[in-house]
Amino acid sequence: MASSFVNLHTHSSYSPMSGVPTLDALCQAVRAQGQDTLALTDTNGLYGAIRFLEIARDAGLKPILGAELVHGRHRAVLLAKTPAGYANLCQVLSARHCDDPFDCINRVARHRTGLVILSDDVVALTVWREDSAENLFVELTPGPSMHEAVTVSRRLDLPPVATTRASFLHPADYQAHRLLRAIAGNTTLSRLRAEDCGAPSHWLMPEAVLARHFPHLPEALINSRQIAEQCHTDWNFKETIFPSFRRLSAEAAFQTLRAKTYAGARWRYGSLSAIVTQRIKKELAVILDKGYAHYFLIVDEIVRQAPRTCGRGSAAASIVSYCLGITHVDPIRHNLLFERFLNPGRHDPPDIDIDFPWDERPQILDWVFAHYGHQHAAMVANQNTLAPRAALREIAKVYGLPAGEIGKVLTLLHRRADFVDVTPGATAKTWADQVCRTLGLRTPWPEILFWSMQLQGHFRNLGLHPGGVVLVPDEICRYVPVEISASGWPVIQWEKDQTEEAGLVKIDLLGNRSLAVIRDALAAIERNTGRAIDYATWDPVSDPAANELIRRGDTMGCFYVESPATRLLLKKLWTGMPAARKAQADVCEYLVVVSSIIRPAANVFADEFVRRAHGRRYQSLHPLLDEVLAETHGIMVYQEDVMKVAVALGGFSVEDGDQLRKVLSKKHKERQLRDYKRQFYDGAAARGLRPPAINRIWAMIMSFAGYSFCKPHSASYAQVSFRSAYLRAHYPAEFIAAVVSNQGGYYSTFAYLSEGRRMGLTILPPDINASGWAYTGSGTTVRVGLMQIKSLEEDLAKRIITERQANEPYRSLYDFLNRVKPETAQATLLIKAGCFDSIAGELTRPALIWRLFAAQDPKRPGYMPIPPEYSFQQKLTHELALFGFPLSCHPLDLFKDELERIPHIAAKDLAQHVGDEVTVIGWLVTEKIISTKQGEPMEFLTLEDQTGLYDATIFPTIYRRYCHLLATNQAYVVRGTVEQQFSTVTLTVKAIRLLTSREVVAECEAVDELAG
Amino acid sequence: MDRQILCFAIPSFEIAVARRHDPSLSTRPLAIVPLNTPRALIREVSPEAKQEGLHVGMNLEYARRLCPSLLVLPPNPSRVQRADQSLLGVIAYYAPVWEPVQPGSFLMDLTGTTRLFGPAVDVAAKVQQDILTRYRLDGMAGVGTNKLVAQSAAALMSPSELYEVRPGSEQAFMSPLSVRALPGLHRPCMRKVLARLDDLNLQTLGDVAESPPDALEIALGDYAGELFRWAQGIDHVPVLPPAVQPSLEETVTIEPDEIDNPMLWGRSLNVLQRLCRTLRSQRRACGGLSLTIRYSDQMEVTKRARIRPETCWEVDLSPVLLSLFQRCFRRRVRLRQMALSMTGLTAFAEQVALFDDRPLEEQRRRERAKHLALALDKLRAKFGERAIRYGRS
Repeated sequence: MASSFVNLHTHSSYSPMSGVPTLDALCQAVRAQGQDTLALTDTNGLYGAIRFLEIARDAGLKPILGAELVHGRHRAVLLAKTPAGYANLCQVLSARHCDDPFDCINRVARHRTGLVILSDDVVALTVWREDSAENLFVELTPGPSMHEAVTVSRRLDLPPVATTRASFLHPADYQAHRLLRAIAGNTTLSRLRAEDCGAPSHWLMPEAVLARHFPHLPEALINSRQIAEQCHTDWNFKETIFPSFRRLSAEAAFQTLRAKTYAGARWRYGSLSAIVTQRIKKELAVILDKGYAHYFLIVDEIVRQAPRTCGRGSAAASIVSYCLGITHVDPIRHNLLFERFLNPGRHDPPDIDIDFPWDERPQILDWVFAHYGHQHAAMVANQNTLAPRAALREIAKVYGLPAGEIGKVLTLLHRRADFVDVTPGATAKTWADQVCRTLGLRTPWPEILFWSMQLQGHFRNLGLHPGGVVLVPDEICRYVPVEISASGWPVIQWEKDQTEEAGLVKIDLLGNRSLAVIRDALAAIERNTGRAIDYATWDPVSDPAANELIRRGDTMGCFYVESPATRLLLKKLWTGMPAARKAQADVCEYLVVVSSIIRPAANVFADEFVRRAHGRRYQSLHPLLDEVLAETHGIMVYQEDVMKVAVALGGFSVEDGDQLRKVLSKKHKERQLRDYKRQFYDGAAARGLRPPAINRIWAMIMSFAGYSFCKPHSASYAQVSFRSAYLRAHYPAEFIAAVVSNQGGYYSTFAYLSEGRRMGLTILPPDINASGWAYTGSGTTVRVGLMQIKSLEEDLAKRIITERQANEPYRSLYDFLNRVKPETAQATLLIKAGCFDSIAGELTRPALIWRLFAAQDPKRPGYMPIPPEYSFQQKLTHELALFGFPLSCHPLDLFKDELERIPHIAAKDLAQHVGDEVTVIGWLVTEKIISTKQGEPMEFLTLEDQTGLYDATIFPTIYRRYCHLLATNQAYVVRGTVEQQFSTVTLTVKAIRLLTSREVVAECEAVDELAG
Repeated sequence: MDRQILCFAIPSFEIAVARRHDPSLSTRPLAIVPLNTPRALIREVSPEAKQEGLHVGMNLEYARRLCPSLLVLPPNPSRVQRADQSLLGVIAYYAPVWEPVQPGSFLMDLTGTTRLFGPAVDVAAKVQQDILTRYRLDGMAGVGTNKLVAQSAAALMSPSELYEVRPGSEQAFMSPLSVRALPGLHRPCMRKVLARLDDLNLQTLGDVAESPPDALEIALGDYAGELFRWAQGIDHVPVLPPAVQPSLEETVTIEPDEIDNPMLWGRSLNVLQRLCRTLRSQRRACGGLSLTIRYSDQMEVTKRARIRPETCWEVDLSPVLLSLFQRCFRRRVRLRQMALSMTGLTAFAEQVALFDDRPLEEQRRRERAKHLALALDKLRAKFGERAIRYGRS
């Protein structure tokens, strides 16, 4: 028999930094107590509402949606009794986050329809009671204030209802709750005020325990059941809510889209071939059938706001998108499958993602909100959770550990915790103790580690999705509570999955650094050479130099294909390819394949693809596959290959195949995947495949788990890659300057500048009369921009440049100080960075600093000394502190004396020592830690010396021994075997040690001191 | 007449004392670290351990990795105090005025004692010899015309060595020394001054001495004058015996470092009690209170308050201390050290108000608190410091 009590006030981990139990744990615990209904009332939000509906139903519970509204001294639990009540709840919660000032009592009074209110707030209850006593209850929770609430209930003649206010499941979890509150309040446990956290009694009391607190008020428990029975629990969010384009009717919108598409087709293709017309008709038919015309028109309208965009994702498979200018890759030429984007059986809304230059995106979003109105548009949220590292860091802060120690321990744990042998089946506490004992971490680290295990994954706060925007025809805050983000844009309380599941259609407007790189490089080229390249008509794909650059794998800085793995694969593919094949092979097509095949768990297939591309004959797994995987030599490369293979071999429908693809990319997929696996095995067996072959094909399908790419996406991105490659090949200085200036690439600034030097460029230091804010490149020189000087304010830098351009170059330090009037500290940075060296005359940098102080002081001294110039070591210290890397020399030059004593070979000579065990010196540029199939960590490293970059691999046994030594931007002596595969050379590490010199240690300490 | 100041210092005093008690420790690398406390940091290292790369403030775990043969001893404050006191037998014999710098380290003003004991440099040698003979403790000595020069000279020496800076040669002596050699410039609060000196590339005291004082003042502000005098070997501060020191200070090191507010507040109240007791025993009252805390990441914060009227009673000072504690301890980082100092010390002359306008209850409470403090003083004087304590500590 169901319990007579229903929990109407519970908090899950979606109550930001307050609720302890996950939704799963909460639902299971409530079910285990024999209850059949549960109200989730997270604080001021419905952050997990859609997830709750799914989990509660799976647990056999009827879900009630609600929230605890807390504002200042007022609080109330609001439960949605009806769908209209849900809309009101969303509006109240939106007002709570957006209105300033927020009038809690009146706002609730205005939106009471369809809501049940429970509260022990006397002031609010009195006001609401005057309006109506209907659906109004006094909340009684065991604790010190319960007696007062009982009095209020009697005085106002309002029915009482019992709640637990559970923020945690068991009394012992109270400490976890306090830790969360301390993290949220940036405080320590001993400074945490009692009113900032719940009471120890706010645990999920079973009915029997709770009833003991209400011997005098048995109706309080019965009322909870009665309220629950009145509340709506059959929630359905399946209906898709489309935006509306200029309030056109569906027919009018479609006709507009049709006309625009054909006009666009004529722009793209000139005359329309039968294939093009047929494809357009086919797509328009599906769009009409699904009613997506409004959606396309809105995306089209947004894209027109920026001159340079790149459609990403499956939308690039659509010729309608191509004709509208949303995407820039011809789906017919590249044989892109429209079904991957839209198909008649697909129920989820379409998803068009557009890239804008990263620094133009804020203006685009501003335009969207201005154009469509804040009521109709909002950003999708990122629900930031306490990631394992953040959990450790935050708890350690609550325990008062200094930042330096936390950083060191986190690095140690990151690299070593997996290696600690722990008793199998150990509890979290034992695990934490054993790890800390092995790694030599003393109190309170075991406690911190234990709590981090308990608290990781907790919802922390709302962030912004990188670009998701939701548009609705009416008010958005009727569908979901809306908040105001730090950047001032409205943001809904759901992340992308819950948004989609709730039927809201999102458009992704994403930032892309490479589009900005291309824009800036093109502008610099025009400035330096007068040559204007038209972005729309520019065809770098047929440029021989760009093709050759990609063939060499010299793609550092080139969008999408610059990672060490991709560069290595490009080298493998093209270096060893027989000349006859090479002459025929289309570099662009292969680039699309290479950029898609690089994904976790697909290394084996990448190498096999290279072999086959080189002409090795292979036995197809099944004749049916020959057809579907012909263009990728029988290897599954793209997401749609999963769909194609599932259809061809497993007998799936196109829709099921598409679903299988989608499921593979999700996190919690085991249950759904089990069904698809069975379906695939049955289908393949029916087509005469034997189990070993099916296993092999299924393994290939499973390699798409995690992240993978669809062909339209890669084809679309390859266009941008080619543009980058063209610029790198023809205008290296402008290109490298733009790459470094836009930041955010795969490598550090230092690594790009090193690459620039290897490309023959000279890197010039910053100069007060020559540097801009960003880096500038011209001919064979790149000038460091003022942006590289840490702590230099952008405003000041811009002022310096404007003043210089408006008048004349600065003639001296005094001239500069008079004209710009900077703060002393800021001017000191510029002097130490060497910005004034060109106009200092006989003055040294210390002398300039002294004069700077003198200029700020009304008492001018009679004589100003000129101290000696900083030593080379001092200048290096300043460079490290100001730029983050040494600029006037390669960091390995600092170890000249040590290197003379260590016999080693240069990186450029590695290829001459294939099979040999050699010693090389390297500055660690990037590292990538991965797990083997057995779950053991290993690492790929990219290092460089003064002669070149090289890649190295550390396998688990060696890694275990040396992992604690590894960190980027440090120098190493590496001993290992040179291995060659497909004409590319890598180093398999046997031993590695830090290269240290007394001077460098002193430098680093000095920099630490400055930073600290 | 030139002053004659002698600085005598025994390096790593606690280790030297431990080695005297147990000669078998004499050749091994040694460190003094509080044991049985997690996160302990090294307090003192022997020269052998220093050669292995160990230094004060290093984490014990890391130190053991660097020097596996390291022998660790727990601090023994009472033994150190006894040894320090016993040195006074020699120090006080030669010096009419002396000032303790830290355990095992003293500044002695020998001005005017030449006819009695001979030149200061001879006295220095005698002090070294006497202490070595009587206590088997080896110290270094520096002689100069002021405290700064004597201390700087001693710091350059090794045990058994002696350095005399002749009158008139102070500036020549100080000139080649690094600015970092100045005592007092290592404190975290002086980081800014050091950074400025680095910015101006003034590496040695000679560089500072050659710079015009007005130009220095522009760059270093209030510190310029003092630094300029120091660079020339000028220091007018007299040697002050403990009883006339213008301030009283007590530093507590918190092992292990701690973040718990009630516990730390309890510890600071204990310090206040001890200082108040000293004040009362010296019949003095304080006019200023200053609290310095050092966080685990070495950041220091100091807050000060004036006390009017001057007082020596906990009941008057604890609200001031609470306010200082709250203003100091704001970061979310553990504390490693707290130092409470009482400044503006004057002779105790409490003026009782003829018409006290405070509420009667308040007056009674203060009277009770004063009686309690006196009673506790007596108990502690008779049975020792730890005989009676508040539960909060």
